[in-house]
Amino acid sequence: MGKRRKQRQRKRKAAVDRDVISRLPDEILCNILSFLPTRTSVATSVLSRRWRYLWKKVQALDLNDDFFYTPELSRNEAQERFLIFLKKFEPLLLPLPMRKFCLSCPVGQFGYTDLIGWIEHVIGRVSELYFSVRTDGQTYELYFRNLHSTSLVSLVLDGNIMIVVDFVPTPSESIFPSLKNLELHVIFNYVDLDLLLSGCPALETLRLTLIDFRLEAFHMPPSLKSLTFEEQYSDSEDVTLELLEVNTPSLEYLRLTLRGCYAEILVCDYPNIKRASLDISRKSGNIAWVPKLLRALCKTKFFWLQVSTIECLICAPVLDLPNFCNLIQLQLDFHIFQSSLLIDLLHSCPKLQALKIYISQFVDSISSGSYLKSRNGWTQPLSIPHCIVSHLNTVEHRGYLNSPEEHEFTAYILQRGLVLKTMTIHTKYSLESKSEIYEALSEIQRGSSMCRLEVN
Amino acid sequence: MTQLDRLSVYHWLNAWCIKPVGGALVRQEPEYILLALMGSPLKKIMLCSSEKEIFSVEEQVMVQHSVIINNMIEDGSYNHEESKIPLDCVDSKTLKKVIDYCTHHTHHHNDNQEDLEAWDAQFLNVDSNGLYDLLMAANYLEIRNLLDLIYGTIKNMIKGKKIDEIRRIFNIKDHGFTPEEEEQNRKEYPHFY
Repeated sequence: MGKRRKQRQRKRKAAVDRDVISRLPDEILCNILSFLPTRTSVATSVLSRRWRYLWKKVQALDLNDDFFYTPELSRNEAQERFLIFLKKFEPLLLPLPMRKFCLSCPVGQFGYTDLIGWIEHVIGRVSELYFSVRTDGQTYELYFRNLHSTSLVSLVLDGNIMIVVDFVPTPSESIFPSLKNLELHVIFNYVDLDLLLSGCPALETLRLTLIDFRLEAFHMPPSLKSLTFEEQYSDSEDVTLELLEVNTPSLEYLRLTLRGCYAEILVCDYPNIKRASLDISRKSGNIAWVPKLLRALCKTKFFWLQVSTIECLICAPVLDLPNFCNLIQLQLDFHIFQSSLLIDLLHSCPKLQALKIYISQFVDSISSGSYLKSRNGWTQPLSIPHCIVSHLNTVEHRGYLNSPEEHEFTAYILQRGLVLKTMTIHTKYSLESKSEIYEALSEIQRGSSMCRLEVN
Repeated sequence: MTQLDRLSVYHWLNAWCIKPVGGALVRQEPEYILLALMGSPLKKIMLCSSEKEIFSVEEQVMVQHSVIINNMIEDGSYNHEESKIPLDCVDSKTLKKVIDYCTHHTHHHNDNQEDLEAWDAQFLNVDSNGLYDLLMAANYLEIRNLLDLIYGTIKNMIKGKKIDEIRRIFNIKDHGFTPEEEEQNRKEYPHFY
């Protein structure tokens, strides 16, 4: 064996054995550590000499307290220990510009002021702040008077926090001028929530999960690109709110889960909208404006209408569907299969490629079975929807009950779908029924030679 | 277009392409007319790896993903007709993968989240050397989504694991601590061992 070959072999072996990760520069290793909870990143100091002091340079603090809850300690003791643990990191906060600060812990009366002190100290210097509190049922106040920050880009607040904004933000004196991402989960005091939003002029992403939301008029910041708004009510009292304003022309993503009744919604055109998902409960106030919202969303590419929204559409006095010129995927959750609404929707999306139908019927199978078999709401459409012959290539139907109406609709698509590639049917029935359904549908002459039928 | 068609068009354009410049009629180079006919979305740029291999890629694709390349093109320091962008810290194999990532994500950005995630998982199915090379390249070119993806993967290699396992995964054979120091480490972080 020549000398060169031996050398090459040795080099190759060394390359495989080498500790490659430690040769990455400090900056990159610290970035990796910044994605870990601080407790873990501190512990990496024992990996090797190279890693010993890296954690001190990490520009992120991610402190959560899960590991303090051992069976030996009481809740109070665990909380105390956590606060002591926190104090250990105070020196870190001083010199470094901190990119990210995450704090997740339970809070009792005595610990709260300490934590707020931390937040106030840190907020002017971090770009991402995540604060999650679990309280013993009590609600704690977070005063935004002392919390403005020009560096903050992302803020997540989670827990029984009461937002207090006891001043009116002006364009020159906004609370968070650089904030792009805001997430609020289960926050109280909604009057000031509107004020808080008005103090974030650059906001692009907003996620709200609110319980017992009661606000006269709620205005979304006009700079928004993505809005997720979910509200729930702990009691069944009928809540009516006056106004929801979504005047956000840059909107690209919208997800609404509304349980309350909104007397009025203000929308504008959303030329950049890409995805929309609507779950709007069927209250009389909402039914009046759901079609208007659909028209504003006419440029979307992906659309998901959940059960309650479909009910709103069925009850709408005049259903003036817009032309969904860009729509390529549509998902519809029906309570009861309605072929007429389905055909109307198909008429309005000429470029639709994928259609998903979910039937969520929570009715007794015996009684509904006979009802469904007697009722057939299918009427042959006067003209064939354009998407069926030109673009529709995937159809998925879940919760198939093999009613005459469903069968007629499926047959219609199979016969006229000239570019159909897959038709998938999911049913809860037994294996024999599945093969029956498969046989019945296989007999239909298909418009597309490459169409594959599947019954699961 | 077949080779023959291209030649025919070239000759035809050669014969006819004249444009007025300052009162006189001047011949316009046919290549530029062809480019103009094809439309700007297909405008390509040249990237040069550390091994001096040249990769041609759609400008739109790289501009969308790499902050560095976007800045270079925006401030005009890149001359389309002549120059190529030298990337001396990225070797050919890695550069090809990076271009692959950016191209896929530009052309498939309308796909389902699940499909994209599956593709990403498959994409990162490389050995650790390759992964770190990708990480350095993504860091240098400032490709945010690729960086986050790789950081996420590496983070999962560390999180929740014991130290011996992490040392094994990262091939850290020689930790460089004295036995006394190692003993102290064990005491300080018992949960980690």
